[in-house]
This record gives sequence, structure tokens and C-alpha cells, in this order.
Amino acid sequence: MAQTITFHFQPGTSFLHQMDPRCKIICLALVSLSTLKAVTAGLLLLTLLFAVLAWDADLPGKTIFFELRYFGLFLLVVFISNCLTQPGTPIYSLKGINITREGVVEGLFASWRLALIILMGLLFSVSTRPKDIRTAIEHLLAPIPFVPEKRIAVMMGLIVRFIPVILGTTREISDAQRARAIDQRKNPILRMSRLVLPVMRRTIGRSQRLADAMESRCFDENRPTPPLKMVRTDWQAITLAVFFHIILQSI
Amino acid sequence: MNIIEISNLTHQLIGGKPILNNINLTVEEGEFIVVAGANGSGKSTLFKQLNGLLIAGKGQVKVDGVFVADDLKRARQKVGMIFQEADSQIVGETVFDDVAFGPENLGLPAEDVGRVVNRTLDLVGLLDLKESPPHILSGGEKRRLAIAGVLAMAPRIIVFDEPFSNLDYPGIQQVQTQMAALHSEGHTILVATHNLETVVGMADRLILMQEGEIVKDGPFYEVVHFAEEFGVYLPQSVRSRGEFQAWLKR
Ligand SMILES: Nc1ncnc2c1ncn2[C@@H]1O[C@H](COP(=O)(O)OP(=O)(O)O)[C@@H](O)[C@H]1O
Ligand SMILES: [Mg+2]
Repeated sequence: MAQTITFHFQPGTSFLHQMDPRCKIICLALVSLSTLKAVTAGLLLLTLLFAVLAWDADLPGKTIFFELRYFGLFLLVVFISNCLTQPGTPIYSLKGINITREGVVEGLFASWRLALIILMGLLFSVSTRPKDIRTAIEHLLAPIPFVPEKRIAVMMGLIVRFIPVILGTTREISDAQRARAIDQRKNPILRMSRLVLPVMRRTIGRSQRLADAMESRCFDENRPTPPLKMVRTDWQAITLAVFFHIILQSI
Repeated sequence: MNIIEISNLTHQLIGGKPILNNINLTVEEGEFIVVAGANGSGKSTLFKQLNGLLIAGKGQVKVDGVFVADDLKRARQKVGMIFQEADSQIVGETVFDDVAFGPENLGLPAEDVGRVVNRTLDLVGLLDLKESPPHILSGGEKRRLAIAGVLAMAPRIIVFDEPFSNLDYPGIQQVQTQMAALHSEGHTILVATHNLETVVGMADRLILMQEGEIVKDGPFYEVVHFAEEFGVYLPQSVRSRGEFQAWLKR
């Protein structure tokens, strides 16, 4: 069950829930961009922004911790690699490898930034219906020529829907093979192909049935894009995000 | 009024022997028909003709007075099709989105879609799960979601292909309840199955198929006695009733 909670929409009525999904995507991009260059003051400000939004969206601290835990190792690797590679005043050295003061500081900043970006992404996905994300992307891609935005949107939806199904199939097949002692085979390539081929066969069969079912329900690639409407608060949010970005660039 | 009319239908892959051979079938509005037959007897192929997923080379299929091949969209709206594998017919990221898929395709305005979806989910008892991703649903719930997805398009004929496969007992009961309710509302119901036990007492009419042909067609309790002859298990209740009557006659 744990995996199903990860980055999953939770209904609500907060400021973020009510924001237009397009506007949320733009703001998320702007804020992430601001984060990349920010140092102490900026990072504190962004953390505060996150805290306020998370509090407003009713995102419990436990969830935040839980989600970050998955990325914990990743954050640690970023921190350590910074510690070891930044040149500067060494504070500890072992067999020619130096941990520098600058490295520790830079490492802290890097993982702080990364954590913030992950958390902002979490806020976005917790407060936005998958379908709205899809619609927003369809709207944002529409003005770009030669990009089949409707097809991309449909594909995104199907991917979200079918990843758990395909994972389930994979688990089933791998269990069945382990029950017949595939673990005894030493050749990893053989073991891999024994798993991948049946999964692919099942997935292709399923995709044909899926196409039948979609056709039965009158699927038409040119279905109208659901309308979205930006209201005043959305424009205010974007203005604020731009403002924030400029300020953070200059401090 | 015949809601389905199939005449001289033969479906054949190039160079192969026919999968459906000279099928003639008329269905009246409001009937509850079971189509039974061993695996490979052509039940699914026959059903797919009803909404034009397959179109046979020979013969004609009319739904509600119009040839299916002439207006596929109309046929697909009139004939709701529920497939054997619920998982591959659920397309939405959430329960709500999945039910909305059909009405959106039919071009309903967003407010109407919301209203229709909520009403349909309420009908099949899934309203509480409307924000859930479909993969966390149980087998019976997935099947009900598949039914809801079809009902939201307001079809008059509902076709179930092996609706009881892979379901536990509560799941079977949920689907049976749903079917009975739809039938009593006046929908025409067609069910393909090789387990007649699950439809005893619900169906008016039974069609037995073998190797692409309709071999028996008539009132359920008359035709059911031929079931074993064509590779379909005779329901225990029918069997014991027959034994009881034989004992009375003795
Ligand atoms: N796409 C296909 N290509 C080749 N043979 C097929 C195809 N679809 C069905 N068949 C064959 O048609 C026959 C009837 O299949 P089907 O309608 O699925 O039967 P049922 O649903 O009664 O089990 C089977 O013998 C099957 O092998
Ligand atoms: Mg079949």
C-alpha cells in the first residue's frame, strides 16, 4: 500500500487545490528554477513558502517525512559527493581524500535545494488531479506546432493507469517462475529474458483488448480538450512567482 | 420490436474456416439472453459484431433498426460492452475519470458529465471510491466499474462477455445483482458464459453455440437440458430438479 500513497492526489479545497493546473505547472517551474541558484536567505524563504502552502493544503508532516524518506539515500549521495569533490580548506582527510568546509556547505545547500524541489513536486501532485495535469499539458502544448498534444495527453493518462497493472503482471510471472526454481539458474541474461518476454507478450495482448474497449466506448482521438479557466488568483500567483524568482536571482 | 437482427452472418478469416457460420438471430427489447458454449465456440466473436468491433464479410447486423456498419458511433452508444478482463477496459486514472471517459467521447458538456458520472457511480455503489486509482479496487469492484463505464453512455443493450470469470463469490453476487437490476429497468441483456449456474433463474432464453454455429435457441429451461451435449456444464439445480421429476415418474 505504501507505494500507492506516494505522490498521490488527495482531494481538498486549499489554495493550491483551487489553482488552475496550468498555472501550477508554470509556478512549479519558476519556483524550481529559483531554487537552483538560491542560498541561505532564499532557501529559507522558499522553505517558508513551502511550509505555508503545505499547511494550507493540509499536507501532514508525517506524509512529508514519509515521502522524503524514499529520496533520503539520493539526498545523502548528493551531500557526500559534494563533500568529497569540492576544493577548499580540508577539515578532515583520509588517505588523500579530503572533506572540505566548502564541500560540506555546498553539499548541504545542494541537498536542501533538491529536497525543496521534491517537496514542491509533492505538493503539486497531492493537490492536482492526474486528469487535470493531463488537461493542463494538453493546453500548454497546444500552441506548439507539430506536437500531437491530444495523443500525448491520452498516452500520459494510459501510462499512469497501466504502470501498476504491468507491475502486477511482472510480479505474478516472476513469482510463478521462482516457484519453479528459476533462482537456480546462474545466467542473469537468461533469467531476465525469461521474465521480460512473457511480460511483453501479456502486455501486448492487454493493449489489444484495451484498444477494443476504448473503441467500444466511442473513443475518438479528436475529442475536445476539456476547458480550463484562469481566475484572478491564478494571475496573482504567477505574478508572485515571477517576482519571487527575480528577487531570489538578485540576492 | 426487434432490437437486434442478425441475418446470414458468416465471419471468416482469409483462408481459414469460418469462426461464425450462417448466424441468424433476433432479439426483442427487454430480453435476458444467455449465450453458452465451450471455449472457442465463437461467443466473443459474435458479440463483437454487435457494436462493430468486428464486421463480418457476409451477412448483416441491425441494432435498433439501423445497420451497425452504417453508424458505428450509434451502435456503440446503444450497445454497451463489458469484456471478460475488467483490468484492460478501465482507462481512467481514477474511478471518476474512467466513468467519464464514455460521456466525454460522446461530447457531453462537463457539468452533464459530472452529473451522469456521480449518478452512475451511485447506482453501482462505487461513489465512495470515486477518487481512487482503479488498481486498488477488488475484483468485484473493478467489474462494477467496468459496468458503470458502459452505463454512463446510456446504452439500451448491455452485453457481458464472461462476466463471472476470476470473481469470488461476493464478486459474482455483486455482478448478478447489477444485471438483475438493469434487466428490470428494461435493458436488453446478453451474457456469454460457460457457467450456467451463475445465471439460473435470471435468463429467459438460452442460446447454445458450437464451432461458430447456433445449435440450440429457446426458453432457458427447455434448452438447458441440451447443455452437456455441447460441452456446457448442466447447472446443479437443473440437474437435481430433473432427477426429482424422474423419481416422481418412477
Ligand atoms: N483474431 C483471431 N485470429 C484467429 N483466430 C481467431 C481470432 N479471434 C478468434 N479466433 C478463433 O475463433 C474461434 C472463436 O473464438 P471466440 O469468439 O473467442 O470464442 P469464445 O468466446 O466462445 O471462447 C476460436 O477458435 C479462436 O481461436
Ligand atoms: Mg470469449
